[in-house]
Amino acid sequence: MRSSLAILRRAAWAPGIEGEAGWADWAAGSIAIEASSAVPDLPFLPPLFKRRLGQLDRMVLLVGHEALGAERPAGPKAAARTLLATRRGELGQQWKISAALAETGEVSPAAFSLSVFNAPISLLSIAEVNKGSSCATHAGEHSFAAGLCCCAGMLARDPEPVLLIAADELAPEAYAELGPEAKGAPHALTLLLGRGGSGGEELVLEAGTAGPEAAGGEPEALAFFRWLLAGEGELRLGGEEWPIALTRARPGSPR
Amino acid sequence: MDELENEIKRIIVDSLDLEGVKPSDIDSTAPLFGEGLGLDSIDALELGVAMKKKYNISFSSEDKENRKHFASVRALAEYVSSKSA
Repeated sequence: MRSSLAILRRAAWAPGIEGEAGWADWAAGSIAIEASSAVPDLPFLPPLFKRRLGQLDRMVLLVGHEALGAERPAGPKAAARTLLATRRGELGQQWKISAALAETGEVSPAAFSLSVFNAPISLLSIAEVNKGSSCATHAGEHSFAAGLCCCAGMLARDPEPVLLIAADELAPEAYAELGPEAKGAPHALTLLLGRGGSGGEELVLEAGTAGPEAAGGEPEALAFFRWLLAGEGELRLGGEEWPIALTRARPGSPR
Repeated sequence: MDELENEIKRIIVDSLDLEGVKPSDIDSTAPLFGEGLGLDSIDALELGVAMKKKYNISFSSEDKENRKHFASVRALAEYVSSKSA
């Protein structure tokens, strides 16, 4: 499957990276994301809404807000389809519930309500009053590639833009010994995607062709963003399960 | 009763993560849900768990009086007093 995609808007957040200039420094390799549980401030949300949010929720709400844009038209046009691709989901909330259960035998209703996999993307719908469909997907370490393929499929069916958010929070320390599943810097990257030709940076996605992937071991969303900001040539992601190859569309190339 | 009301206000602030709200900011007679403090149904469940932990009082989901018991800090204090009397 070959798809032409346009990045209409993008936003990213990670601990220790400040703004577009910070991300440019990160892409060049001069600074790194901090492995911390730091969270972004969300001044556009009321305190009652923010009080129980974890790191994943807060990152998703920030980048989602920035990519959907405060200048969106009101009413039905404000609806945007959203898809969250995450490897670990609400692992921090689930750890808190398990720890409390082991200690007291009771589950906090508030903690449980925010522990499900689609909680962050649902919170975004509520915060942005976005009536578009939303879903969350998980494909292990290839969640970003799988999410990108899902968005390409959604755009093939309907040309209205789709908001892809790839995000993972810092895993609780207790999981560290479990290996790669628990590693990876906290980050959130969002891309408001349209069909090729609708403006913005254009990419060509070839799905289904496996090949050697770039070494590095960083989360796929970050490997993609590094390539987008500073990389050249082709980027391969997705392993054997979701193999994709990404290239920048050349002006005048067929869609 | 004042002491009990203040204790319940502290429980509300602590158990419901009300950042930036001090127990003294809560009006004993103001509604807890909807208007007033603006708490929601999940808060009601969370507060029920906290009250059970502190005062060993259970609230049944079948109890039609729950709305009355949770109407305000004062109503909760009166309910706790009546149960421990």
